[in-house]
Amino acid sequence: MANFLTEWRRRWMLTCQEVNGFLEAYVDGRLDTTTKAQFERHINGCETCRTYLQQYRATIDLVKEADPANDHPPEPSDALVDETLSFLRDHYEPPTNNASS
Amino acid sequence: MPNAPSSSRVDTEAILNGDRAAFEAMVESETPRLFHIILRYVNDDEAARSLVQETFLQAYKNLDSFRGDSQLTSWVTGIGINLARSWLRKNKRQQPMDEETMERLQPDFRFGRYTGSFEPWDPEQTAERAERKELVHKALDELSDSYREVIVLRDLEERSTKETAELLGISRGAVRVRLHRARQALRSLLDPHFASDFS
Ligand SMILES: [Zn+2]
Repeated sequence: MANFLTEWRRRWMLTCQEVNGFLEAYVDGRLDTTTKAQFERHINGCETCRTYLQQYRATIDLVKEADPANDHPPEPSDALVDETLSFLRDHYEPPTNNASS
Repeated sequence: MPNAPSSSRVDTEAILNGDRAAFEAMVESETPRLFHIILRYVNDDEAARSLVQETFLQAYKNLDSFRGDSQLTSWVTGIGINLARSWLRKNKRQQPMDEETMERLQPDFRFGRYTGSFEPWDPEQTAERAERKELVHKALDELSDSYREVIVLRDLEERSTKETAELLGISRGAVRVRLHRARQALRSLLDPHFASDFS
């Protein structure tokens, strides 16, 4: 009976600490169906974990919002490519043999 | 898929055979991606631009040491990451956070429950956008490199766990653990600024 209860609890109830351990996998969408259901059941019944999840997600959103690349057009202008190519052409080793190009 | 590998224009064989035009074609197709990742590491425009150039130069000079156990573009990205790391070491980082501080920023549990309590966040209400960005960068700069770069690769670059593991030369499990700990540390550092109940 005790074993049955322990098993029942393990299957149906996660502790806050266990929920915390699943946060990364949950946010990444990697939890299997059973664990995801357990996770969400806990979150629905536990305000502390709900708030923590909200902050955990907000942290990720804030990091994305602060992405330095946001201030740049999706493709940096060809200027950088040109700069890089001319930088390289100035620095290529002189060819050691007369390989034709 | 902002960062899907775009190796279509990369003719690895020609590049390894010393075909300069093929190398330059790779420079053209890879520059945007490389610029973004380096910029995300260093958060400095000028530095990122010159590190991109340095990366390709090093790649060109060291092509013989490419062993072909990863894509050529990943190898180049790895060079860029190394250059970005050493730039950070020289130019930015004050005191990298030690493991003990990192541990203090993780939540505490007693009998499976959080010992602390949490107030909901309302970042939009508590800080202007520019201020939010500054707070986040300050928090990110406090993390040690090994945690910060997992945030850069997973949350900003949106690379997969597998790709991140390969780029950093660590296991996927280590990527997941570091990412979780890094996010939790950031959460702790940001908490005083964003809790909506700040009266
Ligand atoms: Zn809970």
